[in-house]
Amino acid sequence: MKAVTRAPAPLVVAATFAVVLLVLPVVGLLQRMPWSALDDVLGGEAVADAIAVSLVVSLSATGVCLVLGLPLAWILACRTFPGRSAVRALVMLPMVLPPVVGGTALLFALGRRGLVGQRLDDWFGITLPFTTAGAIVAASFVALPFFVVTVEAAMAQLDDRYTETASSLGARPWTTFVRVTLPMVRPAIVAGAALSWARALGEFGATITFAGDSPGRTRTLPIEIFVALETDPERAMALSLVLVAVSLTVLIALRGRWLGTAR
Amino acid sequence: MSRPVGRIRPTACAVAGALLFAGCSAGSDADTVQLFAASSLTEVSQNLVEAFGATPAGQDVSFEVVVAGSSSLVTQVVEGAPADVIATANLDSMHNLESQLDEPIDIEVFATNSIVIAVPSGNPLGIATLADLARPDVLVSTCAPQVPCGALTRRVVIAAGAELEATGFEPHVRAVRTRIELGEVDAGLIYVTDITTQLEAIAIPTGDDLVNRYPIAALGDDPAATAFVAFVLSDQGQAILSAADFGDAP
Repeated sequence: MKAVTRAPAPLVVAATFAVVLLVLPVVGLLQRMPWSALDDVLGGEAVADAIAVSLVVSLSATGVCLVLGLPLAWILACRTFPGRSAVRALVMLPMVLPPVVGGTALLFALGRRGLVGQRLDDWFGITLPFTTAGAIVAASFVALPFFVVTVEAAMAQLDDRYTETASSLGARPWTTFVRVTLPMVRPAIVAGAALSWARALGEFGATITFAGDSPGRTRTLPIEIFVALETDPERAMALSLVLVAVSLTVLIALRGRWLGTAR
Repeated sequence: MSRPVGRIRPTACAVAGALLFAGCSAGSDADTVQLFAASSLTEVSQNLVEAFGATPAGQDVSFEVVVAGSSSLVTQVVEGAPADVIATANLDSMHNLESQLDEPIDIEVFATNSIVIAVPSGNPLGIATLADLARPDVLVSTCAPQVPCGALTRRVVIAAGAELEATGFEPHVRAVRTRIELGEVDAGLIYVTDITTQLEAIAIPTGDDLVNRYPIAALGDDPAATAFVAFVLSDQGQAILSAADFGDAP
């Protein structure tokens, strides 16, 4: 133990309130949980649809994070270029932006009458709102920063000597990236992928604003919960339990990677 | 070390703090009436509040108006939101509320409303009937069946003998209207009172017979709240509702 001096009372009091604020909602949820009706609620067809949509959307968004986020993290961590800090700030914007704002912005960019969305519709006949692809775009928008931040931090800590050695032995930049850099940051890639997947799974605001509520296409678990809350709170609670359980599982699996005990 | 994470923290904490304190400011004073109103009443509730303020009974009464889908309002009140007056968009939602309250409430119907097809001005796709909405090239938004406008929409569609699969559902009628105005959908089913200058209304033949009855009720015994309910039901209140295209209470 590190504590040699006693913790000041105000800090302990404030910290206790902080824990209560964070834990109380989950306790409230569990206390009202209709445990006996859980089977009925979670077995329904609408729930199966919502779970399927949620899985497709969140896993696809994680794929987008890997394909687009990995190169971005590498460039931010290992290359200096003008405006790097501006790019880094923009990349993290969705983390602090209210998701509903993100959804509105996506609508004006990629909606049927949006800046780019209009062209997509005119030229290719592609419209994103009310489609699963639109839900994936919304989920990727909010999840990507979590992946980039995690992987970039790990890459920035890598010792340059390894890549320099690889280069001096004749490895081309691509080979160095694949054979040296990637294996060394693999734990961060796993952690980043899990975090972005969890964020994508829980995504609600940007999705309902941009992709709308279309059963079987964009109606994910969080949207199903939102709809259920209007008429059938018990159902909403049972569905919430699924997401709480998944989130806890991800956090426990990542303990040490993200919570900092390993560093 | 982890530079980017370190940089984001102060911002995140400031945002969290601001939210926390914003949440603390809401409260209910003796002379402040919390009016919970269905989305479709957004503007007319403001008109009613202003006109009530000009009457003797309404002097010194201030209002906080909370607008949401009727089902959301009911859930909020059941979970303890300090509403003094609630006006919803159908009787089912109000009866649902009454069944979950400890004390009986006095429910009065103060207006009616009907469903129309709404399309952008000029009707670019030439939509004339409900059947046109089933065309594969027409994207249609409706209220979710769980909220009053969605429940009425479903009844109207069935009564018209039409089949309709909505492209997307919205939690309240104003969200449907926004989807049409933004061009994300080609048509929607909304209340006749929600038509704006940007939109064109197409009547549905059975629509006139099928209406939603809007109930209002005072919760608790705040005299200002009961006076406001009486005002809404008075000739003056009814005139304001008629001017906003609401139907007369039966």
